[in-house]
Amino acid sequence: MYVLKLALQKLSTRPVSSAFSVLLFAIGCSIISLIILAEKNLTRSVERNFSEIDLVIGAKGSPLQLILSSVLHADYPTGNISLYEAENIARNPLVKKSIPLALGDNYRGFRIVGAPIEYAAMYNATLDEGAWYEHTLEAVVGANVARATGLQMGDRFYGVHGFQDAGHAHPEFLYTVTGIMKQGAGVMDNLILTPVSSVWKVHEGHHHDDHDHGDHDHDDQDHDSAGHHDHDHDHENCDHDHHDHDHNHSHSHYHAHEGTHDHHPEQPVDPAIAAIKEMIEAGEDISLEEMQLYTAYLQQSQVASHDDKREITAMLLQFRSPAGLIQLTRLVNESTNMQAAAPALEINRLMSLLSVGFDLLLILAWVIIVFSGINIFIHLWNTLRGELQDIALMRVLGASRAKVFLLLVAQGVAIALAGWMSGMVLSRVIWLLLPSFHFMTETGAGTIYTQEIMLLLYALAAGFLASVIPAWTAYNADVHFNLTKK
Amino acid sequence: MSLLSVHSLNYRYPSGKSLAFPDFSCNPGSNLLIHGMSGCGKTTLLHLLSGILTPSHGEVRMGDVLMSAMASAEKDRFRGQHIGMIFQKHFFIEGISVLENLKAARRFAGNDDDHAYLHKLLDDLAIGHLSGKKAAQLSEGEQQRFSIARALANRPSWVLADEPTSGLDDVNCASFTALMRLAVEEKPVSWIVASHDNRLKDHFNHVYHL
Repeated sequence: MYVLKLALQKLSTRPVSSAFSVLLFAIGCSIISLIILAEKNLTRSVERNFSEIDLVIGAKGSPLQLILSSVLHADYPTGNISLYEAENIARNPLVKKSIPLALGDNYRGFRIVGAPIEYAAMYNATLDEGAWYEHTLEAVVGANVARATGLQMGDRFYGVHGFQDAGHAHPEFLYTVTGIMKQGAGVMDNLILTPVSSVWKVHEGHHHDDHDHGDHDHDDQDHDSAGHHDHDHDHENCDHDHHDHDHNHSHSHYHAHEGTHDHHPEQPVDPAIAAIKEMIEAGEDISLEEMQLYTAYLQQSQVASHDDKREITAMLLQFRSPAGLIQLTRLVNESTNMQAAAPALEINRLMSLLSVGFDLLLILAWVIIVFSGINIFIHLWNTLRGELQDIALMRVLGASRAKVFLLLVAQGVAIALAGWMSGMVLSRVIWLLLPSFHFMTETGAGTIYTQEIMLLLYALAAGFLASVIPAWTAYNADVHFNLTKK
Repeated sequence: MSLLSVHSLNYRYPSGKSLAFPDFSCNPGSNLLIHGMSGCGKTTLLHLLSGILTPSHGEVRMGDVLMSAMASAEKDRFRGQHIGMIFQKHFFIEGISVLENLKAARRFAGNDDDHAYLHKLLDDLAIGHLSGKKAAQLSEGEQQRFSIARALANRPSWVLADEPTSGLDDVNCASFTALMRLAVEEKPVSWIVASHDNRLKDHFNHVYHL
């Protein structure tokens, strides 16, 4: 349509002023778009990564940190816990599935996570090639890891201590890639999975004299490796066999427990314990005292040795019934030196914290958009005042009132549309440039969300409102007067 | 397009002052000079003839079309297609080239770009080499020619010109009257020129005194 083309030509005759109007609009739109991207990706990430995990047990510290570190793999772990103690909890009859995680090292920024393969199964991760690990120091890498690092089947690599690329290396323990996962398994895409025993092996021989997890400094990356607390360890004194590690596969790696309580040999049972067990199996609520009593009974009855000094970073739990969540959270937090945190709860807390920030940013963004609208108005109004004779001429040349109205509105709407499009591009560039967003990037940056389409409608409305007064003035401009005024 | 005729035309200004015009008519193909002093209503009459102003009463007829009774948008379209206008001041759409201005004239009238015709028109008026320039960059004489080109862009039946020679020296004035006779594709164009310029009197077969 000719009027639209002329509107664009008109805008391009004032490139600086038009570009400024577009830029201002783009800033407002991109902030809103970034908020939408963050919320969408976070929600999807939560849905994808949290649905199977009811409770996480880890070292005391910030519960949110525990969830971020052991579920989203986005923060540093709170410390280590004793495998023995964690297993005591996992052995509770309310627990359906328990998965131990051992963290500590990374390869080129990607976390090496010691976990049974049930962990990957929880995310429906499937292999693109190769096979799941069977032995210590075998590893399966996520799709993003394979792409970013170029790791291929059969490749060997060694981990670096901590969660950043640079640090103390463990070159004497070479991992072998046995499989590569398919893209789209949530957080698995960015992980390197290995048996828990690998992490123990890499860190074995390190001192275990510090079991105080009270000091959880985020910046101290050295407190967080499973089975290892002492930064100043001396590798020369370690009793490692540097040459036979690939022949000497350990078959003692850890498997997830499923319904472990079913396998326990029946012992002479205290009637009180039997009553509690019946209540639990019936899904009834039991008191904390009863729970403690029952746990103590389980601890006595188990075979695991109290001398087991092995440690893990966290234990992920899935319950048979919702009752488990409340009871075990209370049990762990009140009667052990570990903490239990529910991912759903913590993420809700995080989201509500974030939403305050999001809301403030949203207000700021809308203020910018309102000012962009006012700016468009001023731009068009100033232009129109000098061009009323132009408008009169167009009328003489055959343009109807409606067409000159449209000419002005088209300019306002075009600025808004260009602003929105630039805003969308800007937000995606920022999204891709800021690596801190990557842990929750679930969809490609190319997706335009429904809210962004809504934003487009608001933007167009703002462009229209900004131009409607100049357009109405042009509509009503007196042709005769404007052609004859000196 | 046939006869232009005016019947008991009257216009009341917003100030309340009222102006009555005697009846007259103009045959197709003939040129009419509306002669009178400044302020006697020449511009008002041209604007009434072109439908820019609506008469308080009376009628303006172009052939069998009663222009004064048309709706606003219809009148705009009719003017765009059949009437070319030249003003005392040289108006143009800012920011676009001479050729784009001529195209705008055609588009607003509801016609397509007719590049061949527009280029020929500019060449005939000896400003073909300026087609890519902004109208504001043209000299006074070039702007005059550009205004004529735009008035002829839609092959109109009528060209209404308001004091077209008031700012011109004798040479350019003579050049204007010569251009008036420029036959555009053998289609007869009737010129109605409102002016107080006595130099024009000899070039018109009809003079109408206000």
